Amino acid sequence: MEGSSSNKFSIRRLTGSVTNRFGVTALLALAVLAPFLVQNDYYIQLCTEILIASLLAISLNFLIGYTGLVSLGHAVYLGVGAYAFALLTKNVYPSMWAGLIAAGASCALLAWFMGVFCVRLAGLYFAMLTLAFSQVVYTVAYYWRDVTGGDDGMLGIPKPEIGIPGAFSISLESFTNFYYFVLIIVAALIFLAWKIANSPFGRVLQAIRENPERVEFIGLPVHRYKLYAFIIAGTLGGFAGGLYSTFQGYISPDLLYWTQSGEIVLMTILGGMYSFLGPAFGAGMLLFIRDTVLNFMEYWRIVVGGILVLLVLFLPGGILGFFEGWASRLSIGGNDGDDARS
Amino acid sequence: MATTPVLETRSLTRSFGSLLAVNEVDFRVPEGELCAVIGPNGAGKTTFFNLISGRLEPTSGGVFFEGEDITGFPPHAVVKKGVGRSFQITNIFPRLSVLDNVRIAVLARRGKTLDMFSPIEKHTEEQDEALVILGEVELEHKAHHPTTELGHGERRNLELGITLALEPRLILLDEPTAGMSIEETSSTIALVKKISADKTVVFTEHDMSVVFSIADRISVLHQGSIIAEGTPDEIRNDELVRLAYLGEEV
Repeated sequence: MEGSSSNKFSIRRLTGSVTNRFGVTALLALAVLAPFLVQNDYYIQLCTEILIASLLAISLNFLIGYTGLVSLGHAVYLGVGAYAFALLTKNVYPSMWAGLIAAGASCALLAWFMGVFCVRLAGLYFAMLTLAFSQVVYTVAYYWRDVTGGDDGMLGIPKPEIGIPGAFSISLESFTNFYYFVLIIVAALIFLAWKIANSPFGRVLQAIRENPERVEFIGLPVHRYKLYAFIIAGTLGGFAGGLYSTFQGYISPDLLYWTQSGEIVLMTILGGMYSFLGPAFGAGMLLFIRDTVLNFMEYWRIVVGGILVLLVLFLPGGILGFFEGWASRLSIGGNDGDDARS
Repeated sequence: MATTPVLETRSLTRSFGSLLAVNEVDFRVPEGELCAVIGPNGAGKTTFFNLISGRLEPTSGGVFFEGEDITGFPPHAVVKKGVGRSFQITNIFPRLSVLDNVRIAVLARRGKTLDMFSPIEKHTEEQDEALVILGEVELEHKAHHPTTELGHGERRNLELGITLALEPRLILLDEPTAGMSIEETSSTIALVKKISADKTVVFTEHDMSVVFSIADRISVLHQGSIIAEGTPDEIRNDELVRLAYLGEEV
């Protein structure tokens, strides 16, 4: 992050480029074709999980990469979104849409409440408060057996079919159908996040990351903008939680535990926090490594940790960040100025 | 006085523990004036600016902008009233492009920063305006460069551009030429003069030749209090000022 050469790097990435457009199209094509390429239920499920984790990591990056706020409590939205979906679909009405809306809305409210306290802080204090809040919620989920099932968690969370009642319906019980359903939801939400990131509002968030005091002195109330970013990140995270809930079919308080928050931060850093899709790439990598290494040994985190050390030392911009910087240097012959234009 | 001063402070005081950084300062700036606040290091100039711009809250006393009490307003509210400031230590957005540094300020002034769904590039009016301002501070040709490619003087100009983009009616400039080379200083001074043609400007400056050549009026701050006020000629001939600050310099 420090030093002028990596500064140039991140400007390239933040402003987007032709290479990005090509990359996004390729990625989307890959995502659509994935079930045909892997031809295997197990891997279709892994791909589904990667999609959900991508949304989660991108939502966190709204805070880390864009606004410069390192949250160590993002799992709270994964967990609360998941419980909201489960409670609604199991106890109230088994509807996919209602469940997802409950997941997003509950997290929006929660983020609003937590944000009012958190956004007044910065740096380590912000990180600690987000961590503390998430641990409080973890504790509640753990001990409130009547509602959450305590450490047994909740089982039998449905995958309600979608469609128009009386007209048609699509079952999501098949792995492929469910994968495409998740792909559509995740792609739509990531597109929305991308729109926000490239709007005037998104640029203000970046300005806050760069220099919050100066933002105050261009006449904008920084706390309020941070709060909005916090709510957006939380809401998107809540949708990821809802999807995860129906995907797994069972949930436990572990989803809310701080190590889970740490894992989302890892995804973001692995892929590159100054690249919009970097965190999604990191999510894919982390889950792929976990899956591969688990075949050989239990301690997959050692491998991830090793990779992370190498990354921080040699590719501080993350993996996708590195490749984007490399690609844009090729395409523009080292002229930073032209690239910042697009 | 017949007309309301653009800026007025009444018995403005700020203490840090037992230190009175700014002590009972009564200060008035009429519209259109280019006013310098000078004083030795530690005289309280920056604290004084921080009190006016809302970065610090006064211990006692008040700040009035165009007759309205703005004492204790947070910085963003002071800016919205029409007071812009620049900083002694360059205060820009390092990893945004030069254009974005100014564009964000234009968007902020026009109340467009809550727009979450249209691409920033679609706001062409704001972009054009930002480019005009970059022209004024002689950075138009570097609009699409990262700020890391700017020299020190250019960064100071960029900061001035951010402040100008807010179209303030009162501009506070804290040592606009700090750390600049001789050529950069003279071009920045020319710029400050140009700005002051249709705006009220209060600035601090350590370079006395600059102060005496462009200021309409000078206030001398010494240990937190204003010990003299007047035209450059009056200040030059003031015994007290000579003793306290200027010494042999003038």
